[in-house]
Amino acid sequence: MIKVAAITACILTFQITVSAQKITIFGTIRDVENGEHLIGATISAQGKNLGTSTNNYGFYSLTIPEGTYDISYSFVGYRTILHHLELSEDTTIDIGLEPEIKSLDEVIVEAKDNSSVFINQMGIHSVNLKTIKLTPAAAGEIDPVKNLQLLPGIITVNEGTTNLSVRGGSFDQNLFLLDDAPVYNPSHALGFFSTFNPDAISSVKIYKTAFPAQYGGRLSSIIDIRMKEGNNQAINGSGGVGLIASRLSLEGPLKKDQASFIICGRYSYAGLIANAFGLLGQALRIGSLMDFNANNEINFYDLNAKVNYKIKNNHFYLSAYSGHDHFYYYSIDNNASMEWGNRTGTARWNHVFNSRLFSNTMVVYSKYDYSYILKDDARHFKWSSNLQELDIKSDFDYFLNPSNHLQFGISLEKHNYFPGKIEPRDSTSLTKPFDLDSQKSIESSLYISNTQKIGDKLSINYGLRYSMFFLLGESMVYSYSPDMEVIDSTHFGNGELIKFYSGLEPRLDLRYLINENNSLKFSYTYVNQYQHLICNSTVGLPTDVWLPANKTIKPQFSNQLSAGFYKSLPGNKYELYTELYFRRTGNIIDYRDNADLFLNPRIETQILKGKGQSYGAEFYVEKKSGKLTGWISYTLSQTTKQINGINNNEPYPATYDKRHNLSVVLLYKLSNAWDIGSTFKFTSGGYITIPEGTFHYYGVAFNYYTSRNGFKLPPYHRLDVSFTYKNPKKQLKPWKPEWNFGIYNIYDRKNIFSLFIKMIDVNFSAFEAYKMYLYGITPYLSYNFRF
Amino acid sequence: MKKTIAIYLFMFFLSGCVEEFDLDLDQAEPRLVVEGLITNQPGPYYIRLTESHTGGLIKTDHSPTGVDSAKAVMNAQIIIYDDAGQIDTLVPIDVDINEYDYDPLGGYYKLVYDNAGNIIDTLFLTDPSEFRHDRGFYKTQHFVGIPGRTYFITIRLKGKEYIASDYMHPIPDIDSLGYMKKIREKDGQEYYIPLLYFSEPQGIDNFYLIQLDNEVFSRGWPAAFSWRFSILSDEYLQPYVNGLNVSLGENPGGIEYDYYWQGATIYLALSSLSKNAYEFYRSLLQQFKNDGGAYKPCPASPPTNISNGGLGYFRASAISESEVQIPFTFK
Repeated sequence: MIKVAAITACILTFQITVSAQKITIFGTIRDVENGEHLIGATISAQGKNLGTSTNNYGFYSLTIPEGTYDISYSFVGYRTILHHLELSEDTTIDIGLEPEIKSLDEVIVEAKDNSSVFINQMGIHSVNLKTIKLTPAAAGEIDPVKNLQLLPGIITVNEGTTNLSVRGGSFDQNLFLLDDAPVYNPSHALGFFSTFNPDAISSVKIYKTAFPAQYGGRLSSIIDIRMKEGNNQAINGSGGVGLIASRLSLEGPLKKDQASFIICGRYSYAGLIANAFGLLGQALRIGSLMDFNANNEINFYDLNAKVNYKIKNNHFYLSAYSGHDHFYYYSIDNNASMEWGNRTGTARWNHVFNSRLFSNTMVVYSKYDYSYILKDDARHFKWSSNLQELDIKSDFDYFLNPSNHLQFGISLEKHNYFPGKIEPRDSTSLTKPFDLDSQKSIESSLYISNTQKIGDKLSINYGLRYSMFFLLGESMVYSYSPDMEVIDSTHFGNGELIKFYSGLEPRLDLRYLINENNSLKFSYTYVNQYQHLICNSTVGLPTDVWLPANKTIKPQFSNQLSAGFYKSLPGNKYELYTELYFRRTGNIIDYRDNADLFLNPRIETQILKGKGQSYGAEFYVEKKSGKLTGWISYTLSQTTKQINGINNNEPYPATYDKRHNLSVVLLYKLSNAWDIGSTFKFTSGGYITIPEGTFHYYGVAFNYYTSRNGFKLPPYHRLDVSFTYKNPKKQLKPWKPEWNFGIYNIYDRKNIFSLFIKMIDVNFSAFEAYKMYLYGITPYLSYNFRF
Repeated sequence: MKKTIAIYLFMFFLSGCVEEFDLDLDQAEPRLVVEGLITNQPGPYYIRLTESHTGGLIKTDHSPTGVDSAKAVMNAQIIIYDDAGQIDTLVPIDVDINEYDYDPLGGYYKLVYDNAGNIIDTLFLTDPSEFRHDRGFYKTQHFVGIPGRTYFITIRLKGKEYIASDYMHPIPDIDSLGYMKKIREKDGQEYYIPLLYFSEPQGIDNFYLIQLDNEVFSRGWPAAFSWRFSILSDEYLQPYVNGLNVSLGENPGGIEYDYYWQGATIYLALSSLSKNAYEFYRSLLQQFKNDGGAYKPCPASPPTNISNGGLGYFRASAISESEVQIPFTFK
């Protein structure tokens, strides 16, 4: 193996302003093979406890006293570069790091700076996209979002779906950002897959607490997903053929080292495959498939494209995403089909003003549309709905001095909501055309934060975000009596201010380094969320409606305190931490009993608001190097809600209140050709509402309920294993194939996806409870390639 | 169900599997269930009291006749009164059908005597198929329902008192019933659906219950045939309801009732509902669709107007009825 790093470090003299005896080195850090920027790579002066890391755009700046240094550049999964430099003036140093290819007999020692002991923030995780390709995946579809579900503090709301509950939050409290554009529904095929094509993604980072001040608008987490920039060295591609979806992507330079592009596509034919297997099952007379209906239609696509162009101190990016789903599956709803899709676009301009000031300005667009078509019913209608967002944002990084890194910025977001329109599909339809009022809002925010180092041990990040929310007409606004009867209505004209909310959101996080291997962290986070998701089910459907805060439904907010202890074992082979959190939310919503949510023009009358509380302890141990790598994550937590009017005003558990949450991920490098991955997951059961008893009315039995979410489901557990085979000889050739196969749910545990109660006799007075599970033992196979 | 590895290979996606789940329910105290109805049609009016079933799902229906297996409550004291000063004490229908006398002109009847041997009442069994004697029915003796009044009920049982009230909204007359020919998508069959014509009173919120069977049929026949209720709110109705395609009610089993053939007579009863009664029926109808599974909203108890933990509903409705026959047409 070639051990010589192909380093393309170009050192140029940029500016000659010798200030006192301090100089600044700055530049970008990239992957040398494809030119991708590396986010969060560390730069440090060895033995001096001076260091920094690259920002979200791969830029860094480090101001240090004049002198001679050993500067190291490192990033997880890459070879560390060490430069011996004599520094006497401001210098641009752009670095290319070489990906590390682990071979069997090599012991790689991670640079200590990459250890989370040193990182300022807590509650943050980056998904290693190389690692997840080796882990088992349902139906072989690698999914960066599902991988987050293996981390502490993150609970799968429903098995099989991409819904996340982060530290007791509901799944509408997560902000998914794809190249800074919000993605409102990050799910395909009702959540069985996420909208993020792993081939198009370069990094996935989740913040569970201590949100940087630049982020806001959602209470529980920020999931920052960055698209690849495209290889600016050589044209290449990759792809894969799987059981339910296939992918192809192509990337390359438009102008070497200056401009590049990437385009990725993915198409799923899941419905066709399901139908084919269903029919095959019938032909083979497999009992459970005898009543299979082969008219299922499930398909989706994703398209990601991005170009970038670098000229002098400017870097321009254009990225776009479009995805669409069509869903009809008889066993879920044989009467209706659903369509939904997200489109996002980002135009971004990065500018390096000087060695210490970096800016990022962007225009972001996001559109989410969804529709529901009722098929065989007298009502025969199509319901369609959408929302759009257009944002302008500017962020600045100012590296004031070695001890202070200032970040500040401004953003302006315009949201348009079209909550629903009904059109009859033919002349005999019972349905009258009907439109719900559209709504408009503007959200604006300012923020400033500073990361300050005090001495060698203490580092504090403190920030303040001020957010403003304007709900604008045109719209009819109702006032309500305490029992939610309409008492008055006012018409607001186009652009007229209906309601204004604002809030100061303080953020604080603090790291105290006990010694090289141990640190303590503490954080406080306050967030406002001006949008609510009116959710019709526990699993979340595309027909759920996003609504802005209004006069009746106030913005939700969250307060979170966390404290943690981080440790790395000598040699940095192992890393472990524990974090405790306590979180209180306010103005969270739940629907009242027997709510009528469908196309209700006064939906606020069906909703009750209250507070939530969640606390927990998270434990994490990771083995980072060697033949065997992986992690164990365990969370003990409790989440309750208290909403007047629900559950007799008593606190009740959230559906996703799962006391224990354990994940074990192990990866073993068997040889240069074979990798084995295995995942084990155990979570306590969530809660559902079941009847207390049954009463008869005109001969039919009906259930009555006393407590909301009063029944605890049995626990969930599952073991998967996967094998990846790469012929080492073929990896040197232009066409590099890779086989991935595995077994999902190896011991065939029938985990409950849904528990429901059905009437079973012709006279409608007998019931049976059923559980639905998604996967028994399920083998899969996929073929991936790079060229 | 045959379970082999091969099946799972085929069912990797969604088809998963559904199997029975042993659901343990707590043994809770049974509650009083009220089925009450006062109308503007001639009495007697019937109130039925039963006990709810707890401690587990009802797994089998024990009644071979198809009527429900609800446990009757026969020892309650029931008083009905209105805001115009009318009051009536209900009598339980606790006589067996064999105790009735039969008169070719008057049908089944039973004379009720007081302690002194005087006849104080005559009970008529209007429909022998109802078997009301042991099903928790009570009937009024002389009460008259008039629209525009509020009706009250007081039930005393085992030292507990349950009360409820409902307002009887007036009901507009049905102008006429019509019908429309439709072709069924799946097999090309012709069928007819009823159309409803009436003037919708403006200026107030009206709620309606539509039934395609009369009360006696709804009461007496097993639910499999007779549970045909649908509800209507005037929120989106025009001032003149000109041939409303009546959605033919919600049926718990999803059995197709939505057609009439040539020669059939369509019966339709339009009843007025208070907003609370409308919400009660809306919730019942929602229960047919909501199995409580992951794709459905959180299930909830139907709202009730019975106090003190009672279930069910005490309803006051004015009714207007109409019929139309679909003629035979020969090609």
